[in-house]
Amino acid sequence: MRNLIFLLFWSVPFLSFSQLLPASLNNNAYPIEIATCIKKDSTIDLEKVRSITNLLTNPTITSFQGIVLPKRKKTVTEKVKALSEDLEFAAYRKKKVDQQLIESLYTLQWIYLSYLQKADNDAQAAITIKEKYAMFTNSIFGLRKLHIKIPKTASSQNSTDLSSPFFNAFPDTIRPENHFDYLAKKTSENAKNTSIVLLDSCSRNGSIPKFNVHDLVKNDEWIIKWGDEINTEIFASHMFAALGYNVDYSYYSKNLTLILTPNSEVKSTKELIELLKSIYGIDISRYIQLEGIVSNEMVLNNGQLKPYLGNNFVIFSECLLEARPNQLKRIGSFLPLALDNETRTELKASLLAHQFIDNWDTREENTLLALKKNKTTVAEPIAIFSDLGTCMGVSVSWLNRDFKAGLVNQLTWEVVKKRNNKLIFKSRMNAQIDFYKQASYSDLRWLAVQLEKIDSSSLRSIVNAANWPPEIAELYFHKMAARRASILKAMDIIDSHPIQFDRKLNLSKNGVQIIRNGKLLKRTYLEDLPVSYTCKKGRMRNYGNK
Amino acid sequence: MEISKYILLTLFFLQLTSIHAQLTEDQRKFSIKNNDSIYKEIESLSDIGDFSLLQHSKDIYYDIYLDSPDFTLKKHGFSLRFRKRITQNNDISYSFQLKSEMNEVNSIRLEAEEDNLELYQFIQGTNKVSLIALLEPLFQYTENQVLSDVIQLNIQTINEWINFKFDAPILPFQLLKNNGKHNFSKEELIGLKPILVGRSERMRFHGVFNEEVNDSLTKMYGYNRLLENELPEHLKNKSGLNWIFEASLDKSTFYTFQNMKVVQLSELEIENKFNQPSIGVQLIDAFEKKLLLNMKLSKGSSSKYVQAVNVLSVDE
Repeated sequence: MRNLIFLLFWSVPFLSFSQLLPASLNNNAYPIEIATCIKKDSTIDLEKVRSITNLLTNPTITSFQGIVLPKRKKTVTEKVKALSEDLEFAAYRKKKVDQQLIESLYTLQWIYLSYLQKADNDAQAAITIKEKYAMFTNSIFGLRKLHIKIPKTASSQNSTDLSSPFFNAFPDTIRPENHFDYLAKKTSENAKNTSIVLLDSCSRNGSIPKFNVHDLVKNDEWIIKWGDEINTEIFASHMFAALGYNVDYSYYSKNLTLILTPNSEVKSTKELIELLKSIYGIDISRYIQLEGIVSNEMVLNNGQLKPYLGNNFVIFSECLLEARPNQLKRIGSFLPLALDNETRTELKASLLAHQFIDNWDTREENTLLALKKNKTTVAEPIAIFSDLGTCMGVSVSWLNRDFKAGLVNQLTWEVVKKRNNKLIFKSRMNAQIDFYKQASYSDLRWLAVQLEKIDSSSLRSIVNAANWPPEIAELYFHKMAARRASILKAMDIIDSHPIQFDRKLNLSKNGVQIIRNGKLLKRTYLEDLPVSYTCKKGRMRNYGNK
Repeated sequence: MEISKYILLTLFFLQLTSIHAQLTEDQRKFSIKNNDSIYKEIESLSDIGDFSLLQHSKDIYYDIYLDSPDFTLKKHGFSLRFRKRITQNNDISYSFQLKSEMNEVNSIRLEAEEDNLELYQFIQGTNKVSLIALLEPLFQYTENQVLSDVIQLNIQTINEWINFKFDAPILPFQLLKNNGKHNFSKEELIGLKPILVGRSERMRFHGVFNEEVNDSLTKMYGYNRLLENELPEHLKNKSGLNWIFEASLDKSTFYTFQNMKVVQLSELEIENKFNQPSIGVQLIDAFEKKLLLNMKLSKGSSSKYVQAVNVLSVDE
């Protein structure tokens, strides 16, 4: 994507760049992407703006520079037209650009470049050897680069309100563990209200098995997922939300009924299992609790099932439901490296959040620009950290591309160490290392102050949301408390509510020891669950199933 | 019909349905020729054969049709209009629509709509004015037929707005330039301006069959499986009613801005709503057969715009 943006803007003459402030806040120096839409006399370049707005809205434009364009979404089209009209009217009146017009241009370019990034990403048939090599070296050698220098006069600044499309500065009255529900409530249904879903089509991306479904009653769209990220993704989303970031709305679901309809991509359980196995190499049959045919008795109990009488159904012991709400329309990456976004404190500081949860897959593809809308508001852009499930103890094999997340024994007790005048991080990441290397000590410290607000009760709630088996949840609680403490200590932040943890934790169930000296033991009842929490053998690491 | 013409038309519609799949509608039209009794009969109709017509709304439409002085849109089989809709609840909405004429080959029409006209503003003289404010006096012309100075000035300003906006991201303009049939240039449409204005009373019906009365059709053709948000309000949570088509009964009066001529038109329009269109076509065929047996209607294909211009002879 960086190359595509470069190609689009290489011919623009020298312009001053905003180094500290987000582009939309700086009136005198704006990013190069915005400058291309402004004429020398400071009026709007309507021809350039129309080339963007037409590409984003015209259904007869189906490709760009040989790349097939993704389907256009109504909410996005409406937003673009609203922005366009501001700019068109200003151009007609030959009005010189002001703060409001700069913000319109910024949002328009953000949507445009994100849409092109999505097209570019969709068009890539496979991850190139070069890209795989980069991820390999990042994972192996990245930690050597992630040394953040501590300035001699480290400021002990308090957190600054950095509310932006990237970050929610919550008031103290809303506790961190409630941030997720607070954000989710505005756009999506809670999965607790979803018990029967209808199968649509296989989404085919990512590396864990997933299917598009919609709720029988309310028609809300969801993605159903299985595998080793069920718990980790929910934990990570809640933790990122607690820190102030926007996330996917993922929920743990027990005993979910899935109906295979004549409109579904597959019509039987066997076909479903085989399709997912052929795409992802993962057998989901261990999650199946019951299967059968929708009967008259079921219809009598639930009239909504009537059209599906005689169709196959499956009940899953557990799965993850990720909301695809109508009020939130996804575009493409939130472009950490464009539009001066790389200068944003809240974005650079997310390094600390990734390190805290031990997130491995930090590629640009796992960032998301979306338009958020409710019935009474105009759609506004928000930047989302998406697909955070590759975390909380990760095993990466370099021999056979095997990969697994959620291995509690792999999660270290510390995130960071202070050595001489540097912060040394411990978690591996597969991408964006050079970008995160630009994070300063004060950027990270700013987020550490947010982390300090997470007390024992908050951490307990966030761990509980993930629905790990109780013993594993307990071990994660102690480990995350220790990891939090290591961050605060390394940054000399006074912990106003320290969380007790025990590195030598021991836990037993029915007289059988399950955790010894802070380590989950093998060969316990947990081995009968669909996914092992100790065995490192996972799944094929295939970078978006490409 | 000559084979080459047939192939060309088929190719056109194939292109239309592939590129503009989401911008088409599958329609049938039936003219009611100056016969109030037939209109009233349809108005009170509830069942035809196995089908039921559930009346759900009665709206008023005002349409301003645009064309160039030499009627280039009509000649190439398109109509372009600004529409104001007033529902029976007095909700008002505006839209800007491009439609292609229905063809003998099939009943697919191109329909492109811009529905948020509140967005658009322009300058008239030195004043900022909304597009809707420019249109309102023209809609009002249907009430009093007085061609005031304001209307004449607004017609000129609308023409300027169109000339400025022709390359803007407005769907009807985008489709005029690329529609697979005739791609218009800016030069061809430089004189585009309001030609006609009409007022229509539209009664709308959901065409359904009720499986609780007769479930043989449901067994034969299956359910129209639509998502809840794709179903009209009146049919939500009514699993016994299988929605096949939407019908609208129009009684319209059109006026020219040039010579104060008037024409009245009545028609019934059916639009396929079945999720598998080919099944919908079969069911509408059955409905049509019964309808034509029972009523003196003639099947038509011309849009109201073409019918009105032909009767009023404003293009001669």
